[in-house]
Amino acid sequence: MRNSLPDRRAERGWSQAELAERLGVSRQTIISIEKGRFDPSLPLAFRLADEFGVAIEDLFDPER
Amino acid sequence: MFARWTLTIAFALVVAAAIGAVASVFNPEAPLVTGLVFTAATLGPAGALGWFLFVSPKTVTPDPNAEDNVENTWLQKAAAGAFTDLLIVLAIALTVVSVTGRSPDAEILLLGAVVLAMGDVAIRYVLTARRER
Repeated sequence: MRNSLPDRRAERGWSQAELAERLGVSRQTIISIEKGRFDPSLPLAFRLADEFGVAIEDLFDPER
Repeated sequence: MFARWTLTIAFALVVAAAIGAVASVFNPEAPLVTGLVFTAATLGPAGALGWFLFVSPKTVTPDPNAEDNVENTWLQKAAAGAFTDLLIVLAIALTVVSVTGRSPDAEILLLGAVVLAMGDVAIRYVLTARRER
């Protein structure tokens, strides 16, 4: 699933490790999500969206 | 915490000694040596079990987000694949044993199954991690 995670993370100046720590997951999890190789669970997707202050559909786009 | 560690050590000694005693009963040719060997061999795992039961509840905090990690997904995939592999290997082994009428020792069969399962999970995990990293 495509996502705008790298761009939004860069906008805030967060590293992958920092975002991972904020969400309580491993850095590898963030890497895999950003590469589109791992679809996060619904709770994690909600936490991601909440962290960036956007809706889930603004962060993830299966059609793109 | 001292009490918990004391309980862990006592638990390990009792469990290991009990296993050693049972082993010595079933090996009457050399009961003392058998009992000592089994006690010594199971002391470590029994200690680990004791730590898990008595110490870890106070020292280890469960990760509430553990299942959200990609590594958890890799492990689930590896375990599921290894389970299928194990079923296939056991079915083939059962067929061979049934047809030939020859069966190796149960210890060898069970040890092989355990080693196969553990090795299979490890290899599958590494391959999945490399592929999906």
